[in-house]
Amino acid sequence: MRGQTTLDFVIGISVFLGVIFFIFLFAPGILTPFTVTGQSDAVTVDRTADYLAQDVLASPEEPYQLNRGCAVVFFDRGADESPDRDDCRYDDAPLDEQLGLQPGQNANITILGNTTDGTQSEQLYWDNDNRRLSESSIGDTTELSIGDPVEQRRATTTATRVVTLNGQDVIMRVVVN
Amino acid sequence: MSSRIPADRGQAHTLESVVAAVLLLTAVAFALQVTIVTPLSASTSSQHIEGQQRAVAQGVLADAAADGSLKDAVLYYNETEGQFHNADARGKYTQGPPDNRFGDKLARAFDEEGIAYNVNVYYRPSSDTASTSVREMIDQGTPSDNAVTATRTITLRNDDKILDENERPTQTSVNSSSNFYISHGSTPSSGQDRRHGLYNTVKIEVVAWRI
Repeated sequence: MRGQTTLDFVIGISVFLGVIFFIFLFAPGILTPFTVTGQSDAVTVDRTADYLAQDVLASPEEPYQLNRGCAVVFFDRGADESPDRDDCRYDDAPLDEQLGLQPGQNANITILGNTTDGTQSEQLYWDNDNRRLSESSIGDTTELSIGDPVEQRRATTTATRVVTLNGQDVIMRVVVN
Repeated sequence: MSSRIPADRGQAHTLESVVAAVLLLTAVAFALQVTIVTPLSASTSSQHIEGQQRAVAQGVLADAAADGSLKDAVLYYNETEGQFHNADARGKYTQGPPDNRFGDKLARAFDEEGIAYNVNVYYRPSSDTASTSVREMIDQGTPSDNAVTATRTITLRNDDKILDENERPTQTSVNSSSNFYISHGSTPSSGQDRRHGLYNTVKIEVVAWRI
């Protein structure tokens, strides 16, 4: 009986340590689905999209219906549109200041849609000559996209809104990373 | 080799550690049971996606209401057959959206994103003012637990014309039709609603969910 004391102690402590080790490895994995990276991005992107679609580019009385002039000028401050910038609901400030982005956050806003038959959405341009939305950038066009292109390697959060622009339903996509 | 461990307690150390280990494992098992995580469990990211779907549905309804295509979709009705134009046998669209402007808008907003949607039309029948009748316009299945809804209310007037297959007005107005699915709402015998020729108030509901 005396001879087994050390052996029993070794077996006992190694079983115990083995279980402790397993639990320390396993426990953090349980919580993984609840720890969301970029949680503030989800709030930022939602707020930005609502702000643009329901307030500054449209009006609170008629949300989701973009004012054509203000929307085009928003994407290109030099565009010759009416009403001009002074009559729109946004200021002439850098994009990140207007949208209240945190330092290090980058937003990209793009208008997508389909001006021909079909449902495939592509990036849209405003055709300054023919006064209509166009899927091609040929001619005197304004690109309906603002903000740095999204970095491929970083995690991004996207918000999507369907809005009316120039009498047509288009998709406004806001990406924050 | 006179150990400080009492010499006659050899087996007890093994038993003690096994009991401790079992206790730890039980705690973990309990914690797992409390937090059952499946792919459909609600999390911050799925809430975000639901928020986007709801906003898109609201945008589609706002856009359709602004250019009148929402009202046209309600009036897009085949009187002779007693169902929506080119609807399936059960009187609703089950194979995709209807071939009108509202249907095209829904397709552009949802079809490409892999989102299923139902569209229901709610109205008050004249006979019973306390209840609401529903007519299913688009039926793509039973919504999942994470479905979102968006609604928009429009008004129909007595002289609104029922539309033909190409969304052109027919000779029949909603008031003169005997077969239109929305009956005349209960109207006060006098007052503004009557003077303005109000026919009924209709609530259109879009239910969207990820598939």
